[in-house]
Amino acid sequence: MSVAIAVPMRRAIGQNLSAFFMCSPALILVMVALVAPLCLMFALSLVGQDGGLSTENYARLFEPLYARSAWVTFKLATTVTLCCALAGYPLCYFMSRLSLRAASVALLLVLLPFWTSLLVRTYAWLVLLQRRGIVNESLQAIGAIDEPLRLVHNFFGTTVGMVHVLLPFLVLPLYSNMRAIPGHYVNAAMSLGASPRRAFWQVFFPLSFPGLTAGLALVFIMSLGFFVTPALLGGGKVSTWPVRVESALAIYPHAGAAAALGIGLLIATLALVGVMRMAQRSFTNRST
Amino acid sequence: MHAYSSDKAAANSPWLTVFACAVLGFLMLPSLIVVVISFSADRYMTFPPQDWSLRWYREFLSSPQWLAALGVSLKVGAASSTIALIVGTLASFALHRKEGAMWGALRGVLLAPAIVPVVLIAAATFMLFARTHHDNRLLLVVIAHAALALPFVTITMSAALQTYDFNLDRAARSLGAGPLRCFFTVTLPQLKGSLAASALFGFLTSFDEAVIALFVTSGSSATLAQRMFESLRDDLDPVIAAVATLMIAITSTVFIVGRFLAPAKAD
Repeated sequence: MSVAIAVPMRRAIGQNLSAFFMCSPALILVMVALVAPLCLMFALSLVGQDGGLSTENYARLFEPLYARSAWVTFKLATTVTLCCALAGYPLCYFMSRLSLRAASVALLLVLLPFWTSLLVRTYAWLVLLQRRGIVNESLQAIGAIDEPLRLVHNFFGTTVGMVHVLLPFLVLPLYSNMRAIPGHYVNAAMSLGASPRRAFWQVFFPLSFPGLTAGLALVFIMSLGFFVTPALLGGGKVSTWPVRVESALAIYPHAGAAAALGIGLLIATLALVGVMRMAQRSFTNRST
Repeated sequence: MHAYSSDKAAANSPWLTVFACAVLGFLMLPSLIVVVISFSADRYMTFPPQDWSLRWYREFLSSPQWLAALGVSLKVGAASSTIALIVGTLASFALHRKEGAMWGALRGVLLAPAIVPVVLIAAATFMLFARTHHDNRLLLVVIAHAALALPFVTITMSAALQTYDFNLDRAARSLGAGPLRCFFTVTLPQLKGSLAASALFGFLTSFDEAVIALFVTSGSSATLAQRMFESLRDDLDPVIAAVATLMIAITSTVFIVGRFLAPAKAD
C-alpha cells in the first residue's frame, strides 16, 4: 500500500519540479531586468557622499526641494484621479445603458487611444494647447478671451495629458462593474416609491462602488509613476518624483540622491498596491 | 457575468449623451489631429493647416538619424518580443492549473514588471550599467523591454491555455509522438493565434517605450521613441508629426492584427 501512495506522490513532485524548471527562464529574466537593478539601487541609496554607509540620502528627502516634489506628485495624482472620476463615471453610466453592440463600439473608441503611442498623444496635446493652438484660437474667435491662455508647459497641461492617458484605466473596471448591476434593482426601488435620483444614489451608485474604487486606485497609483507626460507637458515646472529622479541622476555625480528618491517612490507604489488589494479582498468578502 | 440590465438599451438623457460624446471626443481627437498636421506644409503646427505637403515625410525618409532610430526600434522590438514570447510561453505552460501560495507568488513575480514604474526600472538599469561599464547598451534595453513585455505574454498565453484541449496532446502522445514532437506539431500550431498576439503586444510595448532607452542609450543606438521624446523636449522638430503618424500607423496595424488573432477573452 505504501508503494501505491508513493508513486502518485513521486509523479506529483516530478511534475512540480519540471514546472518550476520551465518557469525558471522567466524568473531569471525578471531577476536580471528588475530585481537585480532595484537591489543595486537600494544599496546605492545607503551610500553617502563619502562612500560609507549612511542614511543621509533619505534625510535629504525631507529637504524643501524634495518635499516639494513629493507634494507636487501627490497633488497631480489627486487632481488627475478626481478629473478622471468626474469625466469617467458619467461616460461609463452612459455606456452601460446603451445596447450591447453600441456599447462595444463605444468601448473600442475608448480603448483605441489606449493603444496609441504615449508620445504621440503627448505631442498632440502640445499642439492643441500651445499659444497658437486650436483651443486658444477657438476661444479667441468666439470672444471668450482676449489673450491666449497658458494651457501647456504647466500643471494644467500636464493634468489634461494625464487624464487623457489614464481615463481608459478607469473606464474598463467601472464599465464592466456597471454592466453587471441588474437593472431590476433600480426598477424595484422606483416601484417602491423612490424618485429616479434617490434610486440612483441609494441603489445604483453603491453597487458601482467596487469598480469605481478599483479604477480610481489604479489611476492614482499609475499617476505617481508617470514620467513622460510631466516631463514633456510640464515645461520643467512640474517636478514630480519621477522627473526628480531623472534630474538627480543627471546633476549629482553619485547616484545616492536619485537612488533614495527611487526607492521612496517604489515603496509608495508597492504600499498603495498592497492597500488596494487588501481593500479589494475585503470588498469581495463583504459582498458574499 | 449575467447582464440582466444590458440586453435592452435604456434611455439616456440628452445632457448625458452630449457629455459622454464630449468625453469620447476628448479621448479620440488628439490622435486624429496629429495625423492631419503631419500633412501640413507649415512649420508651426497650426491646425487646421493652411497648405498641404508631404515634406515632413520626405525629411524623415532622408534623415539618417531618424531612419537609424527606426531601425534600432524595430530590431529591439523584434528581439525583446521574441525573448518574452519564448520565456513567457514556457512559464504559462508551467503555471497552467497550478494552485497554491507558491505558484501564486510566482505568478506575482512574473507580473511585477507591470507594477513597478518604468522610470525606476530605467534609473536602476542605468545605475547598473554605469558600474559595470558594459559595452553593449542595446542589450540592456532588449532585456528590460523583454521583462516589460513578459506580463502581457503570460496573461495572454495563460488565458489561451484555459481553453486549450489537452486531450489532443494526449492522443498524439498515445500514438507514439515524443514530447518535443508533440509540442511542435500539435500544441504550438493550435496556439498560433495567441502566440502571434502575444508577440505583437510585446513588440508594441517595446516600440512605444522611451524612458528606458532615454536613460541607457544615446546617439546612434537611440530608439525611435527616445528620439521622439528628446525632440519633443528640446527642439520640437516638425518631422515629429510625420514620425507620430507613422507610429500610429504601425501600432494600429499591429493592434488590429493582434485583436483578430487572439481569441475573445472574458474581461
